[in-house]
Amino acid sequence: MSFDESLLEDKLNLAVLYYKSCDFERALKLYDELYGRIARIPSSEAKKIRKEKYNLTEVPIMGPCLHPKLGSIVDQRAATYEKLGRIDKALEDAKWMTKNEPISCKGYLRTGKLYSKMKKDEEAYKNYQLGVYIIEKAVKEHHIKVPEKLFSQLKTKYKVLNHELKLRKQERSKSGFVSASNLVRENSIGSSQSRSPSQTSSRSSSFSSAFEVMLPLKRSHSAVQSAPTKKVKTHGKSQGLDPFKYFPLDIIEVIFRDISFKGLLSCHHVSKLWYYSLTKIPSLYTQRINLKPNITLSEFTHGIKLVKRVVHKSYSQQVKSLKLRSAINGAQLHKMIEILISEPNFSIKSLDLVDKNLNFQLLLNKLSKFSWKLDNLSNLEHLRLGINSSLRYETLLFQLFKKLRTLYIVVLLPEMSSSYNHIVPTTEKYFKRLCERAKDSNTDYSSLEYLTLINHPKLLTDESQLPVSFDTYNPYPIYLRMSLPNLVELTIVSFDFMNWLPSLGEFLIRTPKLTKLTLENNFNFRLLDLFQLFKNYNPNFTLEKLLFREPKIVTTTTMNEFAVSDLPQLHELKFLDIYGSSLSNKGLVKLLKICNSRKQCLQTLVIGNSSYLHFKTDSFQMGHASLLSLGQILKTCPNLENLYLNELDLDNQTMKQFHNDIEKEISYDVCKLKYLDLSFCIRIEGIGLIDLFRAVPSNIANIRRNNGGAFRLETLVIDGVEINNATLRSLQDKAFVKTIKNDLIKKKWKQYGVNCLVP
Amino acid sequence: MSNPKVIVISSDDEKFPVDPKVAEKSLLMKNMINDLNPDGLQEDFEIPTPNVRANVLAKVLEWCEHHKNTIFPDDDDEDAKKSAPVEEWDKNFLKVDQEMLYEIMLAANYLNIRPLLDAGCKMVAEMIKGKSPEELRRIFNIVNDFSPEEEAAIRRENEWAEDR
Repeated sequence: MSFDESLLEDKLNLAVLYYKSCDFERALKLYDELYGRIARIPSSEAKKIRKEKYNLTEVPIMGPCLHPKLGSIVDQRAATYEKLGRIDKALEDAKWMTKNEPISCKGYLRTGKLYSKMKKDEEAYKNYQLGVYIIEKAVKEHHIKVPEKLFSQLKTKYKVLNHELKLRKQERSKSGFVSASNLVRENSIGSSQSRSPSQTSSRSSSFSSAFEVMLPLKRSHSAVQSAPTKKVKTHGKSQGLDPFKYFPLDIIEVIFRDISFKGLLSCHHVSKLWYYSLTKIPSLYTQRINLKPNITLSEFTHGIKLVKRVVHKSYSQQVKSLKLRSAINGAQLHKMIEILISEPNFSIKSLDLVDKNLNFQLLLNKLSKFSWKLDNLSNLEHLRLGINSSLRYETLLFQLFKKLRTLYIVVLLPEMSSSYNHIVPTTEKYFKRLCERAKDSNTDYSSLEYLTLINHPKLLTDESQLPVSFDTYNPYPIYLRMSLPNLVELTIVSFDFMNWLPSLGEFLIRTPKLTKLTLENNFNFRLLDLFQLFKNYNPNFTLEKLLFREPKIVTTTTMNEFAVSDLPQLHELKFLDIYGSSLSNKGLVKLLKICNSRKQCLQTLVIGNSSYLHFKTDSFQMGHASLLSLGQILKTCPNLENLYLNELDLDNQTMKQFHNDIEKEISYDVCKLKYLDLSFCIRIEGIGLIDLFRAVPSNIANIRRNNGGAFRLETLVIDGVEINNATLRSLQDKAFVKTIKNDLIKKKWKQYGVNCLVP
Repeated sequence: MSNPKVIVISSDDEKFPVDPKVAEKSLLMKNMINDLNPDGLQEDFEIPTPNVRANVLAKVLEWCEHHKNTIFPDDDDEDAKKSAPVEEWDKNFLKVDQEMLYEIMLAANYLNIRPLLDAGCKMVAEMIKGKSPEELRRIFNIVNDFSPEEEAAIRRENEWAEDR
């Protein structure tokens, strides 16, 4: 049954006219008629009407779902009854209002007025209190607006009556009359309500529980559930309090700092309060905008929209970090790059773009399309590009982005045949000017602190059939002609250094602040070459970390060419990784002596998978003088904490010897070793590990009895070696090792390696 | 005369006499003590905390007492703080009902006791971590006030993020 809404409107107006002209009987008749028709509308119908005709939510926040005009009809009918002197009928309607439209002030005002008329002041007081409580709660929980004038009227009535009743009570008690009523309280519910709901409930539990009974509040779980909450409360527990109602945003910020980005976005769905509060805290978002892999343009634009909205509330108005892993296809990637360049007010501090269709040439192309608009990218400090072919026009990068502190270039694909040079706007005036400037300016780029260049290992001359040219690919290291005076960290992987070693030597002279150097899998570049560069060019830096992994090993490196006092660049080394090196036993000992000749800083040593390194198994071994011993290593590096001996030719005998060395040559309490990696030393068995710690009953008893020393580790890693679980457990139980890692599925030792960055 | 005490007064006028060392875990109180007693404490010193109820204040001061000798990392050291899990004692200490936990956090915020506030925040974060919006509404007694259209809009808005 559909009801004509405009007819309803007209009849209501007519009824008001009757009322105003004091024709209360006719008004009443009309109201009765309207009530009769509208009250019958089923709630499903009412939902539709609410939404379609009155543009309201389907279901009201509180109270049952009724036709939206029904409230007005009943309220006006109550007024009519009142005029006719039928107070009881009026009260009935007014009470209906408080029940069915609990967040409307009118019902409470009228009910109170009627009660007062009937000299039932306490009932009136209760009713006002209920109204203030319900409406304040609704305002707080649902952020609705209530008519201010009516609400303040309600609050005033409540306060005045409260005061009056209090005075009366005092008078009564003065006159010796003891009131049984405990209705009147010092504290207004309204003000304590703002502190905490359950506090209120404990203070006036009789009231609020009465409220809950009286009001079957729809959708308002809080009200329904606060009844059990109260029950729990009496046991000293209160649960289910929305943190967003308790805490200011700066505390919310600290809470959500601990929550993953995906988790943060999922919290948007909880409620409006959560959504609007969270998106007011830019710092939760701007640091970690990581776009999902294979993202589509539509997802991308939605993301950018949200990010923009959030970022604009921040002080810097800058996206701190944006990462694009891969786009769904090339065409959409083009659009995304265009958006990144052209989106107004979208300044980015750190940009990470990885895609199989990406190259710097494409960026140049798009920048030219937007007339070299650099608004969004001119403040770029960190740039990471995963590209599909060798980097070309590399010096232009520094001309465009003048504030770069970090540059990270990975060549992802072994693309040789195309350089994508044809899309570069070479004929454009501005582009030509850029090239000129790049050539002219004395190639000094002082903002750069971290430089990482990773080439695809298949783009090395040895493996390729195609000739190297500007239009095919480039196997040689880039940027070596530049001067980077503030460079702190340099990583170069998989380039061919044929004829380029002198340039590297010159380059290193110009980087006096370098502390971390990583060179891996570079062709025509041996460990010996590096040390010779250091000696001949004598760069003026002191390294903290050196990682050098040689690609192919032809001969051993003995370090005979160097004296212990040589190579001052290594004298303060803390971290040395020469995994798979060509060093001989003697060569390693010499190198360790050099590294520890002055300050003995070395804490971490990785010498795994080195084919020329051999440890002695016992003191009576043939030729044992030239073999390595743990004692010797630890004596040379007294501060060594982490030792990686993976993929070496070690066996049970070596383990036994290790313990002897530590006991006799070092002594237990001086040994600082905490972390030992023996992964893929496949000849080691459980018995070897027991010998390593001498975890035999007699010794354990001795340790316990005499409080004797023992060799202990924090972490032992022995992946890829089958060891009895019980053995490992007993080593942990007897407190020889805190953590043991024994992963049998692992196939390959990968650690620290930049090699895991290259496919 | 014995060593002067700091007397912390709760909003409901309960008095808690503590050693200055304990009270100084609160930067707010520390500053008050130092600013108003430039020559050091000569006699008992009263500090009202009009925002903190007695039962909450008692808990907060219990925490301060336990940690009076703990040295906490600098405020600037964000990384260290972020990675550090809540200390076992703190965890047990904060195993109180939700309202009390919240009030302790608000008090820690007001009194400027950063490590206590951080520990509390981590406890709340633990309640939120890994939960679906539906579960969160249940846990915190929240009504879903989004219309289906609004929910769809938010879902669209969130679809770009990486699953980590």
